[in-house]
Amino acid sequence: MITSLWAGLATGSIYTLIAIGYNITLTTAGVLNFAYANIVMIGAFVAVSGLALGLPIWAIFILAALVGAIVATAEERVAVRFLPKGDHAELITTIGASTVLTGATALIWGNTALRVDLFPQVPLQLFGGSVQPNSIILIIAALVLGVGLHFFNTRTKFGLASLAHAFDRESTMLRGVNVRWLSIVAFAASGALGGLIGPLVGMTTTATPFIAITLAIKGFIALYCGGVGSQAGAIIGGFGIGIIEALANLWLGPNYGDFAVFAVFLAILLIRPQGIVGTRMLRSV
Amino acid sequence: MEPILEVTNLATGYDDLRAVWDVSFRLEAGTVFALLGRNGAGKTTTLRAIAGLNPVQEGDVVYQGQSIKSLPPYERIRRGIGFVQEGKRIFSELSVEKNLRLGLFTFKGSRAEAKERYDWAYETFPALAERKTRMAGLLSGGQQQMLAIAQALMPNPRVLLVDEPSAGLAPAIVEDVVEILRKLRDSGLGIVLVEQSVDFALAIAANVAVLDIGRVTYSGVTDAPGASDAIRTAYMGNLLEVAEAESQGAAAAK
Amino acid sequence: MSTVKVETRRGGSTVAARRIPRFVTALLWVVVIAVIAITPLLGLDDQTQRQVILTAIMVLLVSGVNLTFGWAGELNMGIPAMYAAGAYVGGYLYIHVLNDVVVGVIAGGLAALLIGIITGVPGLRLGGWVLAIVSFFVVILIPSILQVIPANVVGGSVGLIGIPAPMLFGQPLTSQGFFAFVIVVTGIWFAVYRNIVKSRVGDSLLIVQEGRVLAPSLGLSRYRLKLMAYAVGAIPAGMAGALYASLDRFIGPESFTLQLAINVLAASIIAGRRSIYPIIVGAAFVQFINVRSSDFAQYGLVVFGALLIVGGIAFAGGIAGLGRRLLKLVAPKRFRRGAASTATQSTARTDSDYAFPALPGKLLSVVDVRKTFGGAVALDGVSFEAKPGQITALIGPNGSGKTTMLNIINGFYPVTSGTVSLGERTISSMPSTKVARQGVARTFQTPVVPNGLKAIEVVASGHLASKSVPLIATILRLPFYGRVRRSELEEAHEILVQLGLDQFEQQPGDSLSLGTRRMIELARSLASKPSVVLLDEVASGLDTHEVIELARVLRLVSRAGATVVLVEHNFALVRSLADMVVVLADGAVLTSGPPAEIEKHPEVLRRFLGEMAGLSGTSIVATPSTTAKGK
Repeated sequence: MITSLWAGLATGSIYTLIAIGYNITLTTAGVLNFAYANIVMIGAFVAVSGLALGLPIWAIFILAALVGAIVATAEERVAVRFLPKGDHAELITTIGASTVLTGATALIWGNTALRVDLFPQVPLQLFGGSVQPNSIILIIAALVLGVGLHFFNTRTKFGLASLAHAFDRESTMLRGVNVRWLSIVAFAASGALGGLIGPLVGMTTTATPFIAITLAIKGFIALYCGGVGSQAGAIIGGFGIGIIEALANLWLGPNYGDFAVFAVFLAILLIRPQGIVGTRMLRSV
Repeated sequence: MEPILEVTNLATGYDDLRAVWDVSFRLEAGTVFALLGRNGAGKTTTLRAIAGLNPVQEGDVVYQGQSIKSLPPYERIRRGIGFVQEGKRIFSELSVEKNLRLGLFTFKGSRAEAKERYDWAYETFPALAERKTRMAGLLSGGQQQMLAIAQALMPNPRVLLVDEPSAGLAPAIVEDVVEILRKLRDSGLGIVLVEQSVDFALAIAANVAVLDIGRVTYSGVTDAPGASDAIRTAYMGNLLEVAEAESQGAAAAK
Repeated sequence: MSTVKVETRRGGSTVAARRIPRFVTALLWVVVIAVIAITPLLGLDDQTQRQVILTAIMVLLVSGVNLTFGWAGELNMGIPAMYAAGAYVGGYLYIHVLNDVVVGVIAGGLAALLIGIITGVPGLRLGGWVLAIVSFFVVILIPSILQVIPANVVGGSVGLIGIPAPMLFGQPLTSQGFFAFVIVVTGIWFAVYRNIVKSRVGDSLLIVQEGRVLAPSLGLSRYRLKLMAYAVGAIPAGMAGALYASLDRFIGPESFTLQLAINVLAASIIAGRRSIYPIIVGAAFVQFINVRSSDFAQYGLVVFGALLIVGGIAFAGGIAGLGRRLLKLVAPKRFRRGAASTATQSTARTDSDYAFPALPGKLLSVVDVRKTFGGAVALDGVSFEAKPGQITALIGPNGSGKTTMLNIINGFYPVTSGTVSLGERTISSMPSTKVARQGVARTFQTPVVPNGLKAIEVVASGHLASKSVPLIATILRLPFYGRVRRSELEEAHEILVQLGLDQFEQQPGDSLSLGTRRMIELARSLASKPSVVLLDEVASGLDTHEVIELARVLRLVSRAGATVVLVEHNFALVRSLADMVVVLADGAVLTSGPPAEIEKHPEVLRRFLGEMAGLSGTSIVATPSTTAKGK
């Protein structure tokens, strides 16, 4: 039971991290970047290559963040910048970007799942359950990033400008904010973050191109259930979904985790369409 | 005196649509230029073109001796143009203080100088000082209008574009708005005012142009003899013509 | 009246002239399908036959995506799940119940429809990403579902084996026979798809895509129409699944992946998301790439992903949008000015004895309506009446609550307290779609004219909700459908003639000039034979001729018996038109009365020439004489 809870928190932390990444571009550029999970996976693959080259761990993380930032910026330039207004066009282009990245990673690193061994994993006993040390790191990372970005959004000039941009693009421009630049920075920052956490996520999931889309979908559900645009919501949604999945797998049987997640998602859609802590903001998503 | 802002033969609109033709005016520091006209005449479109939100299709916009017509909006703001949009457009989900902080986004001065700007704003708009942490959307209409003006003034611009500041405000509040704009004008700010209310404009503007269906139908100074009536006539012109034709048509039908 | 008769006949003949090509297209389609169906007899080899069948299956899947994505404006990523539902239901039937491809295809289609309804009902509440993810998730669930259902039914992760060779009406089908069957099924569905989108239903869907306000104001429920398109779009996927079960006689979970959803979407983008015949090209292209890259699926991913990016950016406005963009590049100015100048030349008709067909006007009464948004009071106890056969004008400064009042009358906003009633019925608690069906029509401050419809279709769309035609009658083009469609197009034509706009009727509605679009909107509101017409600043942006023309039409409308409510800034127009004026200020009625009284009201004068008319002492009454002298 406790072990299951730990497992739930561990997968939940990954969903949270994906949802946080979505929020960064959503609240600044107004675009949900469906390819974000692919960037996380690219981070994991960079770690695989870095380990093969014998790079030190810190260099691996820096390299992964750098690659993530470059990929995300390129994506913004190609698939987001020229989007026409309305028409849900970013659904198509970011799903397209995700597909390209899945194909490209498979071409570069192959189809098979690769292990990411940054450091030895010895399960720990905590509160009567066993848990991988990497999972603890991921849980802490999700919490710290979620809370940190929440404060970044509310306390800094750039956070405030991005928040304003999500409310009213034109008025934000008239405060002297270069909103196009804001959008690039948001993509670059989210890409760097995605690349940075990629090696850690890869330690849990292995590095494999085709898991990205599943993570992308679960991450969206976490984001949505928590409340779109809210980092606190991302934490609640991500860990909540992770725990529900783990407990359903434990109690109902190994195939029921996804059913439980789906049921919760549909229930929230019907009962509380703005999400658990969400407001009316960014309802267009 | 050198004009601080000069608009020459401006034509603008939206995408492939042209809404305004051949608008020209000069604005000097410490004066108010008013653009009058009824709804849909193209006043807001003109203002948006000056701020960079609409394309300058023909003509030029010169600010402090330099053409700014191809600069993006944020760059124009950074150079010292402030824009108070129509309809008390503030960030209603953010607090008064955060709205002002957004106004300071382009401000390059030190922390102490920034503090001075806040002090100035709260001094000029005492109603805001009492409600720093209130959500802007919960302010009264007049307070929202004050906030919108204060926000645009935070970076200390040289030119202020104001779109229909009297719209939807009670008469007493409108007087307050006039008073503030007058004070700003006297402190050396150049103001381009867009209004539907002739009297509001006459109360503070030195120069006036009347727009109708995207074209200037009258322009001149406000203190010349008979100017007030001429402005009113230009303002009501086209529509009265219609009304006349209409009533004649109706009479004939009967 | 005689002129009107002539116009009607002209309208009739245009419609009649269009009927002959329709017969030809239908006949042509039958011939094409028949020829393709017998190609195996003409020596088409087995390998190519298989590719053609797979392309036909892809055509079915893409038409389903197009219905949702192109026509309902929502993204359906759940096609593989619907396809799987059809395949497994078909396969199960063939093995255990009845081996008949017709039964299998029908059952497969119904199974997919069920998946469509289950995912569409919650997913379409918000649409956009939410529907995409809900439908995507069902695809992720496929392996789990197969694990949960007992293995002897669907074969679990191994797959369903032992599907018997296809039979039709008890006779075994040869491979040529099965080929012909697949082609005929695809051909029939394709005709169904075409008849759905090229119809009033297709028009309604285009209106739904035009944003939140237009469809409900015409009495169309966005949710229901989107759900309909999405659910119907699931049917061909299920049919395709049942065909696939007979083709390989084996189904495994690996055939129904997220990758398939991407392929289908790519084909839809290539073809154009609202396209009809190009679907075949898109499907064939994707099938071709898949065959080529079967050993290197990653290349296919990169290609299709890139296609989605390019397509999403370039073709978001559809092929028509691309065409218009090209036109703008070629002749930007001529295009713009041409539209504007023809609009001014529109000849006003002066046959003043013409009368609109009687409109069933009803008394609109607003009693003590209060409306608050959050803490702000927008309307504070507003009461007035608008009588049938009269024009009632709502005037007042910006922000005085005029538009809010209109939005309350037509049901966009609920009242905080108070009532709005139409004749005997209270309409203030009804949703806007229902208010529209009660006969309340309206126009908008910025005209809302949907993309993809001709002007005459835009006008006829005012009629969509008042006469509903069953989907089946639309698909089969039963005489009933033809009668309704013809009569509404004739009526639309007649209204356009009356407004002097008939020269625009075959032009795309959204490409017309602002003034013309405004008049088109007015025409649309009249097409529903409304009891009440709400006009929101209908004169703004019109030139002098257009305003005179507008005034003439509005008089006709009110004379025909309708209750006309006009929100207007322009007092001169109000004075010449209105029978009754209601002056709003700060969310309350300042005064009301006939225009002659209102223009003498001191408080109104003060507000009208601006909040501070007192400053200079000039009054509005003095101005007209000045103008008259000046002219």
